[in-house]
Amino acid sequence: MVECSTLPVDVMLRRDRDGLKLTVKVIPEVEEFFKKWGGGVETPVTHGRLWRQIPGDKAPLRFWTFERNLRIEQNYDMLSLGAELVLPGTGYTNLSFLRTVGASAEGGRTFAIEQVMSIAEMDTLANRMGKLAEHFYLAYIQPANYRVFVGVLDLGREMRQ
Amino acid sequence: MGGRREIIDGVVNRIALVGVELEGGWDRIVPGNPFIHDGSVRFDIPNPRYTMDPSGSGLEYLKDYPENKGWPRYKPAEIVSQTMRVTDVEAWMRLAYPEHVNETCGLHAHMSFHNKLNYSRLMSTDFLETIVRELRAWGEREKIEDDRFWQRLDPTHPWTKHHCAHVFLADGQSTVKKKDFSSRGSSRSRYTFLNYCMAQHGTVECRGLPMFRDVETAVKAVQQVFTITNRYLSKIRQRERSVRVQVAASEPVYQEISRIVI
Repeated sequence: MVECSTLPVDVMLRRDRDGLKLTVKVIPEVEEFFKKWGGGVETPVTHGRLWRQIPGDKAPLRFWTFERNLRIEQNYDMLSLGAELVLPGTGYTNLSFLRTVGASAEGGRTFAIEQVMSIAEMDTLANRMGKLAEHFYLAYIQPANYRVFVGVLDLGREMRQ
Repeated sequence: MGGRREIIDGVVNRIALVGVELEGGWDRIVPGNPFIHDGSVRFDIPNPRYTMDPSGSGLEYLKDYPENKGWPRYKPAEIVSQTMRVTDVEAWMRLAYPEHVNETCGLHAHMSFHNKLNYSRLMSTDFLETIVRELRAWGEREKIEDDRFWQRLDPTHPWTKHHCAHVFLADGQSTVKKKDFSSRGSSRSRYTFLNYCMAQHGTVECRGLPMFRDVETAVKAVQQVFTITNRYLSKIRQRERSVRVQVAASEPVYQEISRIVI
């Protein structure tokens, strides 16, 4: 279980009988980002068939609808709900779990992924996931304030003086 | 896994079901076990002439059998078992084993597990090294003289490098949904000693055994693969560890951009 934290993104991954257990905890700004740009519409798993709700978990496993794949020169995917954490073919890291409804609640959300993985691959994936999740946070979530100033230099006034 | 634990060969059996693939040439039809064409199985029969089996089996066999000096009657192929329990393997293999084998024929054993954690635990270079080492030790105990068995345990042998390379590609292999005959040399090549065909069959496949000339040795070899696997899983004691991915918050960005127009 992920303890309450102010980390923008906090993910835990562990192997178990069902394959993998993934716990995702995000700050409200991250969940709000997906909620806003997805029109506030929730969806079940759409793309693959590997993600499963934990038995006994009362809240249905849902995700904020989101249709734009955010990928500025980075190899991650925000669309492939239900698919492998490393997408076959492209090799892109699947970060679509960041769209989980309730991920900003206390304790985050946990679900099962019916995928097998070696320990070495888990370590490699965690390292890559961290870098890509950080890129997403810096590009789309981190507050940014820009002041743009355009001035006019009056040469005639300069010369008159 | 609930209920009483099954003990096979002195160790708890953690294998759910198994499957065996036999490659070779048959002189008879094995009821309930159709021949499947396998282009890698070849017998250098001089000027073979095949004709359709008049019994209506739909199979082709050598026209001048049995005068053809010991060649397989039916076109070389493979037989793939149904999924079965470990304890049923011997009877099936004795029923289905081909009369003719050669160096192009492989004996493949598939294993599925009651839970995915056991499968994941076999996805390691350590297991690959263990199964090769243990099969080598078994071969020495049994005084196996078949060169093809020893070749497959030698990672430097050209045949081994081509057909059952001692290379660990588990994570790439486990997501392959369809057999890919052109995968050789890629990060998802199925032509390795252990092929982790999870998405395709839900199994770990051992491709490192040859078709032995006698079924007794073949049965023992396949059972040894199962025993080595069960023994490996029974020795795992450490709790599964988790990995953590954390992104730290950053200070807000403030930036001023100015332009002066003249």
